[in-house]
Amino acid sequence: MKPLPLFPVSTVGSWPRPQELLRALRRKQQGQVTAEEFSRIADAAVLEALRCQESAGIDLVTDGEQRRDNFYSFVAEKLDGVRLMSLAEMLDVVEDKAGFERILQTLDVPAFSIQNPTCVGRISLREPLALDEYCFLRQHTNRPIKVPLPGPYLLTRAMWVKEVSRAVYPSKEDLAEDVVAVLRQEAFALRDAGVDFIQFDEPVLTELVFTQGQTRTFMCAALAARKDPAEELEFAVALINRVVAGLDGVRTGLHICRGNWSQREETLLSGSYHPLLPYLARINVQQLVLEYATPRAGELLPVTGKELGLGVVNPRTADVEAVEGIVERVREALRLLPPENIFLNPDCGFGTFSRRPMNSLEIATKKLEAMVEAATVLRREFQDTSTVRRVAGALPGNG
Amino acid sequence: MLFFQVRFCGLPSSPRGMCMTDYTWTVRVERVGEQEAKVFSRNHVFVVGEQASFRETDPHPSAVEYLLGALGGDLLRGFQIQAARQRVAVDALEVMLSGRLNNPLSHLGVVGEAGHPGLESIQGTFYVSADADRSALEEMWRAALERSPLFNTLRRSVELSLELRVML
Ligand SMILES: [Zn+2]
Repeated sequence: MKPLPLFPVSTVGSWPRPQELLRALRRKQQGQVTAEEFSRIADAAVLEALRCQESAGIDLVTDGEQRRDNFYSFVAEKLDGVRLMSLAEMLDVVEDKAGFERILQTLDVPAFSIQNPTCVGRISLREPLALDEYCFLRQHTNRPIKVPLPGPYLLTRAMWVKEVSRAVYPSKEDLAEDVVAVLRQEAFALRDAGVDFIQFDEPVLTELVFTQGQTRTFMCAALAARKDPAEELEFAVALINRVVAGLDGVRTGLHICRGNWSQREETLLSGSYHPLLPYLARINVQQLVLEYATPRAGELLPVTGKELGLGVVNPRTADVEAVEGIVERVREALRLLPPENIFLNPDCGFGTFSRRPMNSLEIATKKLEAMVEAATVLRREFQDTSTVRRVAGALPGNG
Repeated sequence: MLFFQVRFCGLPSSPRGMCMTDYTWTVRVERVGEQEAKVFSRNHVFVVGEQASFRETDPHPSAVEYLLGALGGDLLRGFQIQAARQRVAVDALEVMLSGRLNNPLSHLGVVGEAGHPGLESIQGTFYVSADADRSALEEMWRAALERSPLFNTLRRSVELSLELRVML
């Protein structure tokens, strides 16, 4: 793993995709483009995303999730036993059709834009989930690399659609066993290949606490399975901990946010991370990558013994945050955490869903630049304590 | 049963010689149960449930829902025709419509309620994903609205606000 400076600047993963790539993604889904042709277009897009990050000066880069249609449904192409189901197909099988309609209205999206990776058979890795993404990026940059992966709870909730999955996995807990196995396999392969940071995305956790178990996004297809939130959170914690158990030598993180599907802030969930605190403390990752750039996030909470990937810019707004404001936010975090435990990042991706980029390339780049400038100010201030950081394996909290 | 009436005349005509300026459609609706009506229209049959339903589930769509659905179908089809005319490949089309009665209580017959039970407003989003730039799609959308029978009927009596949303 490569060393990082104090206050490393990173992203949460995704980056707006160029038009040509969006067209190619669409054509790929319709089987109208060869794998080579798609790779050619996607490779170029990844290099452009990398160039933006490097020229902005961020310390920990990603491939912008350019090859993925979104941050979790892409697994359908890589796993046996999983099929992307359009909403129309899902509607045919799920019982609560009116519930689906409510979700669509909340999300403010057309049904055709939603494709759920649905478990239809026994799941196993057909090809790596992200290893090839990493290998390509590694060839083109010397900077430390972060690879985002969908978390085990998210995948289990999304993929287990009772009506079609129960023939193979009678319960979502049964499916979770294989999800954990698949993610462990991938995470260890990434670690062995030299990835610096593996980030697991678990946006559904906020949904559990802010909606009293009422599903509000398509990330949880199992609409009928409305269980006690506390029980679900325990289940999620156990799954994540099983995935990262023994995963030394790589920094691990968990990204939790309140949704990144709309620029209309009022449609997104809001509330403090406070109810999650007891669970987060028990999750064995080194870093929590959290959103703190909007008032929806509530006050900063201390999670001792962990790094904080502090969300300091809002990926959804057109205004670029002022550097002083970012510095100020970090200072607030410094009341709770030592400087070496703070990373700077946006609240979420800039293109979580390929068809719903949250910002233009120009503004997204300016937001990265603002974070880099803020980090420069902070580093100057904390120079005395600024030593090159050793890697994650030695940090506490690695299960 | 007579499903639709066509009068023949010598004026601007369709290939089969029907007079298009005087074209009339007819449906026949019969009571088939306590709470449902069956609609015969040419060689189609469909069932209408309540006038307006306030329940979560029902055996059949209500009359209000058919009206909204009919408008949606009209708009989708109209857009598709414009797209075909412009040789634009459309990946996906979808429309979401919601209607609101002026006063649902007056529909329910609540004594002393002001207002009327008619639709007050219809609000909707028309989603399109196609291989064309926004201005071309907007042009097609305008043309589709201009030629839509139901849009042009309803907009005279209901507050109609429809938005075109271009999806990448
Ligand atoms: Zn997020």
